[in-house]
Amino acid sequence: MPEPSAVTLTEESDERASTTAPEHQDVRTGRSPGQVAWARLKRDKVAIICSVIILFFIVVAIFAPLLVSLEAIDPITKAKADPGTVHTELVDFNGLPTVGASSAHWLGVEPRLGRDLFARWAYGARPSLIIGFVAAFASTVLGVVLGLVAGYLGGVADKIISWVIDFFLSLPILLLVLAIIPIMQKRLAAGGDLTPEETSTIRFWVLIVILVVFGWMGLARLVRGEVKSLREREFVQAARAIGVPTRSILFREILPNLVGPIIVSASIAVPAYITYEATLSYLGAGLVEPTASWGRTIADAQNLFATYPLWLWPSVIGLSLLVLALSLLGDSIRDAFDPTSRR
Amino acid sequence: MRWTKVLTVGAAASLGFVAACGAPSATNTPSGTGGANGGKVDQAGAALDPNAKGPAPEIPGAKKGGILTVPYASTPANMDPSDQFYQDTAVIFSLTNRALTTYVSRDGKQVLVPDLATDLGKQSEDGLTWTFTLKDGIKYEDGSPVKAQDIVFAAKRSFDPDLAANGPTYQREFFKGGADYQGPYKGDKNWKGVEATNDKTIVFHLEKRFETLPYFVSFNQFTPIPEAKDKKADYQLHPLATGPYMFDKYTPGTELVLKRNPNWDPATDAARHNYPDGFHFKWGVDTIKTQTAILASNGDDATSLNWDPIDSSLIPQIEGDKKAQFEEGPSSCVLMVNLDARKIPLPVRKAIAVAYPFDSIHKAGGETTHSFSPASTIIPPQIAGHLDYTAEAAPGFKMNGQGDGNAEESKKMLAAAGYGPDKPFELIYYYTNDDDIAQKVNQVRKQKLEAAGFKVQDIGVPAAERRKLVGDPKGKYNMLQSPRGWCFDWPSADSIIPPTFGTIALSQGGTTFGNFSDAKIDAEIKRIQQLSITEQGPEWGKMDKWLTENYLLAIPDNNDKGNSVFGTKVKNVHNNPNKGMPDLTDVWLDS
Repeated sequence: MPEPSAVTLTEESDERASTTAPEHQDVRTGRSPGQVAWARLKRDKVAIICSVIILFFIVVAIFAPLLVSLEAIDPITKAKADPGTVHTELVDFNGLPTVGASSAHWLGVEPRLGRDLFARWAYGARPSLIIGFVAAFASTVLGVVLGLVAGYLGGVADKIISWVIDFFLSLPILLLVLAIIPIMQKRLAAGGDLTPEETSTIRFWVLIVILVVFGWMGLARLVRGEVKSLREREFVQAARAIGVPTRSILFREILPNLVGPIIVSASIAVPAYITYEATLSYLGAGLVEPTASWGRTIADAQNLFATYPLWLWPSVIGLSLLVLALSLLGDSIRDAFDPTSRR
Repeated sequence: MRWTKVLTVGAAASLGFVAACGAPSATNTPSGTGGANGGKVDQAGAALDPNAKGPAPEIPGAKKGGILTVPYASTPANMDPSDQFYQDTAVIFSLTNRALTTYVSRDGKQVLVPDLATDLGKQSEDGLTWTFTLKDGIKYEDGSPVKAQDIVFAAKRSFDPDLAANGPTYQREFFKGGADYQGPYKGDKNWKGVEATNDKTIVFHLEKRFETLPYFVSFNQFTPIPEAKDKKADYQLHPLATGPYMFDKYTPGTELVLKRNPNWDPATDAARHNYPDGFHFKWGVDTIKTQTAILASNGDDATSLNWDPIDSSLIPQIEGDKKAQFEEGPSSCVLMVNLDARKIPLPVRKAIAVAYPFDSIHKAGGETTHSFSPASTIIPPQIAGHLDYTAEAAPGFKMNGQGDGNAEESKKMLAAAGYGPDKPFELIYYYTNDDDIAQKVNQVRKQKLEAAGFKVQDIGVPAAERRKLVGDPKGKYNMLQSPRGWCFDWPSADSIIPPTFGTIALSQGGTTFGNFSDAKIDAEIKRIQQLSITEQGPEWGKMDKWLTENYLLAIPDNNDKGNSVFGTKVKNVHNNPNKGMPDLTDVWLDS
């Protein structure tokens, strides 16, 4: 898992852009760094386009049932499409679909099983987005808390947390994840027998937990470093001197100064986690049938790519576009928060 | 014979009895009339010809020369003739090692003929002693003569718990004192289950009658091994050849190159040809890439042959302009939908048969029309005595392994049996959840059975664990226990019905079709086994029908097919219906 990148806040590549004068008025208005960044972001065309794309996928995921219900009733099966029901009457004896893309199946049907591919694609956006955002949120919280504690308390707490960070960073994560998922699944089943739906649900939450457990270190280290330097600044010293409780110092005085790096780190974590979910599902360690997942679809479809490319393309394009949009948006957010960049 | 292809079949380890079938035919008709008998299944796969003489008749138009390359997906663990009991190595050993008997293909039919022996064995009055005599002038590749003692040593070696761990178990069951014998190194030195009375005569002493012994001694466990040259575990690196080819270069786990054996005398061999100059087996290759390349037939691919199941993406080619480069035919395996008759009452078993979505499951499993043929019987059609019947699970609903199930009729039948939506009958089975295809097949099966009014509890477990769970007769399941199917070791119904429907396997702690213990079934098996060889075949056929119509312990599903894909220069490839593999001894290469 790529650590949600330890963002370098000192980027000096923007000298050439400094000719655009109007930007300077931002600096003088006395707004908070967040407001400055927001104003900058609003004027960033790439950020706007990426946001629209991301919003599109979120809408697809949320309204997947509605979108799928817009498909016409299949003339052969006399049924509305849904992501789970198999319709083997729509494939021939060698498993290839006998029907192409139509008003009943916007992206055709799945070879061998005859499930509606548009429904699987739309529902497939759900696990990607949920896992990406939930895991990014949780790992951010974890990273910030541990970073704050380590940086502010120092001493033994810092030593322990730093050691844990280094330890987790040194683990061969992909290998470990491939090994851990079946073990955790077995543990959670506690010797009981699992139906495929239960297995998939367990895998879903296990994936999130694993992404969080192996994804917080980068941010924690970043926050720890920042806190260490902020701790010695005058306003913190002053707060301490007048007896402000430690919790207030941490969350009132120090944390607001870290909003920039935290948001940047979180926005870069989301696409990383989505890629991870797809990779693990592709490798067979992630989500299982009957859950629709883009990674699984890509794994299934690649062998039949020569004969039936329509199976592979939507998931590949969906995944690539979403990850690209999230990454570029993360970049834009970083630029917007970067005081040295003047775009 | 164990199955080496992708399908998971709960395979052999059976207890065979009596029965050879078909009238012995002494005519020496030319073999190998070309391999285009496609989907048609020939009967009488078990004819005997004790008088066959070498050399094998020439194949019209066949040319000598060239190297046949055989790349395929699986990898033999070793090449020890005592250990290997798999389909692929049996084909390789058919080129290098000669046993007491062997099969020859005549007009698409398999005939058992003497190989190293002068005939198919002589049985004593009580049937407990079999005597084989060696032909004169048989030599190993190094020129030393083959003696009867060498075959006795090989037979003893097949008892060794380490050297022959994966071998067959018939010899343990039938040979006198075989149950506890530990082989020539660890076992009793005075063991006399098999002995050589002189340099030419081998005598088998049996515990009980074993009418199909001539078939059994065609396995590579009965190819001669000189005791003085046995290197134990290292013997597999270069087993001494008696056949037309010998080991040239062997890299375990990667490849095997065979060259001509100068000491093979075609005049003594009724079964084998030696057209190519050599063979090159490559193991562990990628099936799709290999098959695509062979169909394109450039360079060495034109002289290559692959026997893995054809990939579904290549079907347009082999059904179209590359039709001549593909050969399919029956294999020795029959697959069934297994039910636990102790837990599912007969009316519900019939409802399952009506509801079962055969077509959908084949489609979901990526099984093409070239990898199986639907079955309505337990005994496959290539076995003598096969009775071609189609039983009905309900009036008008044929059990022929076809169709997609009838949910309405199934619901009616369940209602008649006292089950309904408020009180559904629950089907419990294990499926493999670490295999993508198995997961998909399960989705289809579950949805279709639920649509037919059943409640389904599908328990997902990893493949290795499933093997154990479905092989336990006390398991939690009530259907789809082991065996999924059965591969016969020789073409006779007595190697199918007694081990899979009789009580013996169940009483030994294994699972059977139906997991059902019934005195009437056991009595019928016993009655048929007492009959003379020629009478047995049709009686097994009748019992097959009787079992399905009255008991329905397992639903007939399909018969497996063997596939071969080969380059444009590979000629005379035909499928051996008793093995599901091509007969390589008949293949020749065009230049």
